[in-house]
Amino acid sequence: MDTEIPHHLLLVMVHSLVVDGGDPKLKSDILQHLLVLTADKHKENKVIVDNMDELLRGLFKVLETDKINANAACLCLVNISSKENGLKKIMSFLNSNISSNDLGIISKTIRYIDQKTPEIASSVLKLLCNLTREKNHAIQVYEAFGDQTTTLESFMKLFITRDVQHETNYDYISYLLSNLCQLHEVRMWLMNSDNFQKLFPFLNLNNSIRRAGVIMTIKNCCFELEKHEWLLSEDLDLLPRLLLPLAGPEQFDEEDNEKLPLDLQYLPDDKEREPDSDLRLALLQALTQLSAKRDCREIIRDQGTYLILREFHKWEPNMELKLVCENLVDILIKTEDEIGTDNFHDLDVPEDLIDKFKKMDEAYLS
Amino acid sequence: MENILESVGSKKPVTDEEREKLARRLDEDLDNFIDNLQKTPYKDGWKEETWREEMEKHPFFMTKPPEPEDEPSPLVEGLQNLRYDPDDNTPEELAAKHKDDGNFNFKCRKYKLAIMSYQEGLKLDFQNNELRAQMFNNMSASHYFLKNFRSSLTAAEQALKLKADYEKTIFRAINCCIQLKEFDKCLDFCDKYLELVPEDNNIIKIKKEAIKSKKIMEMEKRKVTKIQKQKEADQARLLFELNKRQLNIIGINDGPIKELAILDPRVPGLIQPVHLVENRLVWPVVFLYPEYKTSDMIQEFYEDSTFYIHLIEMFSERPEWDIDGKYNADVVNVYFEIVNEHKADTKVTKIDAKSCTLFEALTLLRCPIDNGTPVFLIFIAGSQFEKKFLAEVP
Repeated sequence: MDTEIPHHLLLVMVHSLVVDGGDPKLKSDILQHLLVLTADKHKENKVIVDNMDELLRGLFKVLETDKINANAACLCLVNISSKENGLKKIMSFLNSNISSNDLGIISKTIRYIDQKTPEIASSVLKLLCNLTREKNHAIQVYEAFGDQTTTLESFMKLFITRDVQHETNYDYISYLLSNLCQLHEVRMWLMNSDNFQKLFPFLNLNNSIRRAGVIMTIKNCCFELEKHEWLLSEDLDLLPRLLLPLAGPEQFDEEDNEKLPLDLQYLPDDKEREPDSDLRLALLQALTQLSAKRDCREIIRDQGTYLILREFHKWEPNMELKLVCENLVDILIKTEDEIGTDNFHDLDVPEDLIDKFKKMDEAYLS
Repeated sequence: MENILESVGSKKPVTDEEREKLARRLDEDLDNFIDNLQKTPYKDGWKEETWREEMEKHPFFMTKPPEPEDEPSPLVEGLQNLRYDPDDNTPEELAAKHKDDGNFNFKCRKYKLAIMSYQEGLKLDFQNNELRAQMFNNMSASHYFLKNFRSSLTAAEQALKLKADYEKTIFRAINCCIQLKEFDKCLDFCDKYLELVPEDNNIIKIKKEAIKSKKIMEMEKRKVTKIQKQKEADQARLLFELNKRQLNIIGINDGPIKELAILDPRVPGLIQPVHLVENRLVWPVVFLYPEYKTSDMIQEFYEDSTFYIHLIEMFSERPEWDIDGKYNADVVNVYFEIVNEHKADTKVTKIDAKSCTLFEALTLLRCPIDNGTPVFLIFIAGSQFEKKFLAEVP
């Protein structure tokens, strides 16, 4: 497949996807070639770029109508959407096609996300993850769902259903969910249903896609200020779950152990911290968000968070994360009198100070 | 019989004479019948000496209900055959009868008998899953009252396989799991129950407690493992330090110490065996004073301290036995003995108390260690006892 395909032939290939009917075997071959062409991260094929609208029309058409080739078409779209330009093209293509049908393209493609077509579901989920990374795009996609709550519920159900053979196909639901949780509406839906708790078992999972998506989702939910008391409530038991991945095998004496939540006491010698630094960052950010309000800070302090963060800070090899950790510890070790505000979000930080703080951070990191 | 009476009653009134005649004839018939019976003595009856036991065995007169392991009396067996005859009953009818028996026994709190009845019923081949589930459930209840929580849980699970929405069975399963400390299972059952009865406060409470108990149990398990590991690591370190010093330990001819037990001081009371304090060995050490046939135990002799320091401390106050107040650190000599088992000779080594540390005494001078406790003899320098002691060794 290394041989370059002549431009005119490529043009014919792109056109042929839009045509109704035709030989499915031929379409399958064409899609295999396109898959290779679109996968190249560094070089963009000029014919493809110039005929993007046509190509997108063809790919979405195959995705909607041709079950046999839907997966390959979707994977081409995943490739295209992973690049900045391609993403823009797809989003504007979706936008311009909203009114052409009763049902939008998105709501048609999400029908593949069910138990009958696990492989296509996997590809569609990857595509949706790529499309929803930015908040304004996430809004656009979310609105195209049609019945949003039903759709979200069905995703949740697929995500938590145990099915050893097929469940990896639904891993990306967690990423999609975390992207969608940029939206207030989705966050509120998640926390006001009992779906939020259903994500917890995946926090300790070896499957890194699911674990990552869930940690990110929870982090995004921590931006919902009015939910902080609920997030820190004893019944939900979220705080120990956020701290556990940050805790290592360090020994604490009996007195210190008793300050910790039960799940963090006497951790074994082979206890490992979250290996992915992005996820450690997300956990620290979640804790920092939860420390915005006075009564919440008090709950966090009471659970021995400082001890975990102290050991974490000693261990953390990444300077940026060390800094985030220090900033969080700074909030927690201060008394409420010293802090003097109930809610950090009420503080107005003058511009010049923000600049100063930035420079201090940079100095720390260099 | 009935026929006779009816025929008599239906005719015209019988006269007294006729009645008497009939009575007499019946009497005679009976007498004849009895006379014609074989004249053998009645042997099958209860013997006079054992009638009480016999009576007790008879199902009509027994005062206690039969135990499951007793062999049923022929009468009961016959009745049972009538009741449980497979020719007269379908398997399902039979099973229902066993269930009724079980329920009756259950009401009488005869849980073991009840379980047996249910088991009998469940052996049968019938299709009615509802009935089967009921029997499993009732069997589970019987086991629960006998505190056989494992069996109760198993039966409950079988009942739930047939009938998943059996609330009271789920509830019993929850309680069994708590008794058995199977918290994961308990939480599963709680969730199942809450699916049927959402917001059930009792179950919500039980669930919370189960979560907490589970956490405590897991934490304690981790704690025990951790303490155990720590202990093992400490012992390994101690063994390493001991072996590094190549000590003269009684009971080991050659090679390293493998078991710390050999260093256990076999003395009553709480004496801590040799241990490590920051890579220094700390020994229990015995000082003997042959003059007064008495001894002292130094519980914590750091290997890098000299004997002099301990002697000073020892005699800082006059010991009770030192009647004359002769003993102090500067007037005594310190010795240890090496007793050779094979040859009769005993070797005595003198220690320079002022400069010699325990470490030197044990390693360089190779003072023997018996039962993990080095022993030293203390004499007043130049005293008769010292001379006599030295004279006795070759």
